[in-house]
Formats: sequence, C-alpha cells, structure tokens
Amino acid sequence: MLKETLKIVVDRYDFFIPLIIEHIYISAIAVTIATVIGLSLGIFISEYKITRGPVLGITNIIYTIPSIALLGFMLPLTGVGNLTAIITLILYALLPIIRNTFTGITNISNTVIEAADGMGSTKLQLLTRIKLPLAFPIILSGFRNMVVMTIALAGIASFIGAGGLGVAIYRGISTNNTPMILAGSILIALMAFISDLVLGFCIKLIERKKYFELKLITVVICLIIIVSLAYGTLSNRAEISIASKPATEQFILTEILKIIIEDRTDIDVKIYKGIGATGSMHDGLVKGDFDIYPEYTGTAWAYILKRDLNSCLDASGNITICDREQMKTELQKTYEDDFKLTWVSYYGFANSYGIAVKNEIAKKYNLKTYSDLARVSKNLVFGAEYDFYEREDGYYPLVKKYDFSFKDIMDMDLGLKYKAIESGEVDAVLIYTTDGEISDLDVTVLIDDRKFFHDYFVGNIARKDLIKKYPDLLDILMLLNNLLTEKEMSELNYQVDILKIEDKEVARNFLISKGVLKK
Amino acid sequence: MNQCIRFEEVTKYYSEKKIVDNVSLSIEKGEFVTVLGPSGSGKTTMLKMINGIVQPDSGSIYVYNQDVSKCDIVNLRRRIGYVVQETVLFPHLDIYHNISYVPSLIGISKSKTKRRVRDLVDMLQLDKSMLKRYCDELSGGEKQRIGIARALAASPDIMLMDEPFGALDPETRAILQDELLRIWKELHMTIFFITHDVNEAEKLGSRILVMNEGVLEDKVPSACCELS
Repeated sequence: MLKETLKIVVDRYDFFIPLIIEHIYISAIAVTIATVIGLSLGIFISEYKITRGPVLGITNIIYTIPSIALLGFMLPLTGVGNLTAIITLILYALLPIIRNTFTGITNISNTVIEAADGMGSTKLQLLTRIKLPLAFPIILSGFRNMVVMTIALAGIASFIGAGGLGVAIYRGISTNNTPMILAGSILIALMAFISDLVLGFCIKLIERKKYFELKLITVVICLIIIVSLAYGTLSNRAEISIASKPATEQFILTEILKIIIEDRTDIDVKIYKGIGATGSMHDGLVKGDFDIYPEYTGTAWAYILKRDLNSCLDASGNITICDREQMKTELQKTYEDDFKLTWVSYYGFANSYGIAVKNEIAKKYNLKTYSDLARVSKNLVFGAEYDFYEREDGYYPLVKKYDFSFKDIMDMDLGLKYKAIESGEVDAVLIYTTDGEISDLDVTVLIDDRKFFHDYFVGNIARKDLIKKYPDLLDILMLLNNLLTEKEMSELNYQVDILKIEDKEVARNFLISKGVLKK
Repeated sequence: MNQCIRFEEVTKYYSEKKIVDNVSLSIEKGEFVTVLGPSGSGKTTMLKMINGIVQPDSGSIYVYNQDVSKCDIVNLRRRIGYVVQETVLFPHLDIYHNISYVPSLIGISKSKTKRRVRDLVDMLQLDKSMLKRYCDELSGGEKQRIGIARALAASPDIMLMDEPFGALDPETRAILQDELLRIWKELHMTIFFITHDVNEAEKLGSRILVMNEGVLEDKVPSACCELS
C-alpha cells in the first residue's frame, strides 16, 4: 500500500504539486491574518484585563465547535471555496495565539516591567521593547501549535470546495482510491511535521539567543509564503468555475466540461470537485460561487422544486408518475424564472436506481425484469444501503408495487454492496445504473418493467448571466447533448473507480473516441 | 535655592494600612540622601513616588519644582536614573543594549550612544568583551555595575537607588560603594539611596533619614552609630 501511495505521488506529481502550493497558500493566509488579529487581541486583553473573560471565552467556544459544523455554518455566509476555508481556519487559529500572547505578557516579572516603566518607557516602547520580546518564546510556541493545527485542518476545507491537499483525500474517498487518500494525508502530515520541526528549531535559536540564524530562517519562510501567495493569486484567475458533487461520475462530467470549453474557447476553467449535496450546490450556483454544475432531473424536481415525483397530472387530469419530458420543461421554466439559471444540455443517460442480480442467478431463474424477480423473490436475499429502506421511493413502496417477498433483507454500506453480491451474501442488490462495478462484475441489471424507479437524467445547469456573457457557450455545451449512454457512463466510472485511471485522462480519451476532441 | 526633590505632606495607604504618614521632605541638589529603615517601613514607596510609579493619596511631590502628578512623567523619568533592588537587567537584551536602553528610548544617535557606553564601561571598570553577553552569564557584582551604568546612561541629575547592593557579598559591596561615592563626587548628582544596612547608610550618605512605620526622621550621621 505504501508503495502504491508513493507511486501515485510520483506519477501524478503535476496533480499534487499545485495542491501542496495551494495548501501552503491557504494555510499561510489564515496563519498570517490570525497572527495579526490574535496578537492584537492578546495584547489588548493583557492591557485591559476586564476584557479577558469575554474574549477568551468566545474564542474557546469557537475552538470547541467541530470543524465540519463550523464550515457548514460559514457556507451560507461566505459561499464555497477558499474564502470560507480561510475564515474558518482563522477562527480556529485565534485561540492558541491569543492565549499565548496573553500568558506570555502577563507572566513577565513585574519588577522588569516596573524597571522599564521607571526608566521612562512610553506605553508603546514598553510593549515593543520589553513585553513582546520577553513574551516572544511563549507566543512562538502558541504560533507553532497554531501552524501545525491550521495545516492539518486545512485538509478538511476541501469539503466546502477549497483547494489544498484535502482535495486529494476527498477525491480518494469519493472514488474509493485508498492510495490517493493516503497520499493526501501523508503529505499533509509531512507539511505539519516539517513546520513543527522548523518552528521548534526557531524556539531553540531564541533560547540560545542566536538572532542572526533566526532572521535567516524567517526570511526563507517569508519567501516560501510569498511565492505560494503569488501562485495562489495568479491561479485564481479562472473565468468560469465548474462545481461537482462528491461522486466519481460528477468528477468525470466536470472534466469533460472543462476540456471541451477550454478546447473551443480561450476561457480559463476551474473545477471545484466535491462541493457538497444538492442544497449547497444549488445555493452556490444561485449566489455565483460557480457558474455550472451537473445535476439530475429527479433530484432537482424533488429537492429544489420540492415536488412529488409521483404526482404529476397527465393529459386527462389524473395523478400519475411524472413524465420525463414534462419534468424537463417545468424544471427549465422554474429555474429560468425563479433562479436565473438554465438547464443547457442533457448528457443522454440517466443515473437511476436499479436492481442487479448475479448472472448465474439470472440464468438459473431466467430473470429479465422485476416481475420475473418477484416470482422467485422468496428464495433470494436483497441488499441495499440504509437510507433506501427509509425513502419514499424506497424499499417498501417497491415491494408493494411488485409484490416482492424476499427471504431476507440486509442493509449495508454503499461501498460494500458489490463485495456482498460477489461473495454470494446477497442475491439481488440495489444499484445505480451508472455504477462502474456493473461493467466489471458478472451481474445482470434487471428491467423495471412496471416503471417504479424514476429516471434521473443528467444535465448541466448554468447561470443565465454566464450564457449572456459568453453566448458561444450554448453551442459548445450542446455538443455534450446525448453524448453518453448509461453503459458508457458506467464504463467511464469503472475506469476511474476500479482501474484507478485519472478522471481527467478518462474524460479526454472519451472525448477523443467520440470525435468531439481532436488528438 | 537649588531645591531638587520636595515632599509636601505626603500620605499613602495600601488598602487600610498607612504606609507613608504625612511626610514632608526637601532635598537639595547634590545631596546624597540615604534612607534607613526596616522592611515595610515605606521607604521603597517613597522612592517610587518620586518617579511617579506610585501616586500619593494626599500631598504632592515636586521634582525640579514640577508636580510629579501633573508633569510629563515619561520625560521626567528619563532624566532620573533608576536602580532597583537586585538590579533587574532585561534578559532579552545584551549588555550593550541594556546600558543604552534609556538613550534608545530618547532616540539619541547611535554613534553618540556608543561613545557614552564606552565612557560608562571605563567609569565602572567593566570588561569591554562583556558588552555582547547576556545577563544570565554574569556575576552579581557585574550585574550591579551594569545596573548603575544603565541608570547613568542618559546623564541624569538624580539617581534613585533601591537597595542596589543588598544581595552582594561584603567585599564586592564595599568596592561598589567606593565607586558610587567616586561617581557621585565626579558628576555632582543628587542621589536618593535606600538601604537597611546602617553601615552602608553611614558610609555613603551626606544626609541620613530614618523611616519607621511611615514616619520620617532626620538623623545626623554621627548619631546613627548609637542607633545600631
């Protein structure tokens, strides 16, 4: 495993190096701002001790909020991306620096301060020439804690679309790629470890009063930070931002979007992978945190429009399952009128729920449809992830519609479903129709002959003002219309999830094979 | 008159306790005043009222005929040399920067400061190689000399000294007492010197005061020996 991890870092160094630089960039900004604010507050509460209780109390409370929750709080206020990450990191970084500044200053012997005071130091001179230099070792040790913590914590920031090495971890989790997760984690740990070592060395230099060496190291650190800041500022120049949910399929689709837009125009495209669930994706798009993201019709219908998937009116006024074309039309109208967004193109495939059985079982009982499955269900074990048993379009309505009576049901984790069916633990399993594993394993996907599951067609939602700004985009995005079948999407997912090929490469090869992109 | 320091009916409480009790005192320019008294008798408090670290509850203190509570205290302090108990040197500064602390506060030029430090090193018979070292590497006697050099750096007319030699061994103390006398005569300063050692007060003071439970009494030098 370690060997694979090392290999992934070496092979994809062009993926990791920008992440490392961005990690430094995010951490450095947070650390710098937190130091300025923290020092000022620390000095303030040591001068005006009445304010000590509230200031330390509030920062203490912030410190105890779980980082995921704090990121969640910040999301509606400052949107997805680096800004939210940096603000969150600053909030966490404040406590160690404030507390150590305060402790450092108040621990200085009173006689020293009185001597300096009695010699005619002004308040400012007392602070800059006596208090701060004497408190410096304690402040620096707080700074050291804070830097290590910030670097580690910055890894979580990619959950809200910030950059840095957390991107690698998150990508690894979403695509079930353990070496990738390890690579990201180890690199973060390494950065934290090196910073700790360097700052520890600095503290030692101070103790030995080797101020020249200390200045030298400070200059080198400043240079590294300036370079990463410059890089960070320059690389943020993207003109179009595309976002994705945390799923392999979405990663591939956003890469396809980026490749095709950059191929046909001079526009720079930046991808924010794995931003979050439908709600935060929609909010981010409406607010303009990014410009395009791929979404599923059924999901938008149920979660954004808050409409029932089973209660559309047909031509004669009866309540029925929603017609897919009608759904698309209504989605488009509501999105344009209410959100200033537009559904531009549909990739042609649907990622829907499905039921798969092992080939040998399909052969044994001659299974092709759900109705066939119902015939023999009393002999079979069914498996699905936990939430399927709770959903309105989930297990119990399904059983009712097809009259299933499975021998047993099991709930299991998303990632373990395919292992369970391979080992024979379960006979029939709930799948997504574009899962990469379908292309890999000996399973048959049955036909939903009485149309229980809804079709979740994948389309691109874009901001209307983006299309207004770049009218040519419309034609370019339409190149993607009906580009992919379910089987092809599953095959692409398979290449990323199982074969561990980089999503960017998979997307490029596919576009070339379709003749959309020239070699 | 060459009046330098004047206490007018000064009283100071620490919580309920009257630590300085209605003290009036006038010190002429060029006097070497030693203040004797047991610990807790209020002598340090008197000294700290001269440079405004402690404010009196009633009465006034005048330095160069200026009311300490009303004048620019920072500027006044810079003209008063201050040597505290056990001479606190600044641990983060080397000896050179300890000595030149007050000149650097005032903003005296580097070359002038350098000359001044060199003069002080000669005057106090310090080793030049010491200047780059830090105070934790020095002996008690060396620290004391540097403390005095630091107090003298901005050429003050007044020196406030709060038991500066208290922690020294008798031999070193005697040497430093002699040097202090020499410097006092050389520079014509006014010195306010606190001690609990009768012999020290006797040896140094041109005038000896005794502080007892916040009350001040004048003693003629010859009478003090009978006291002990």
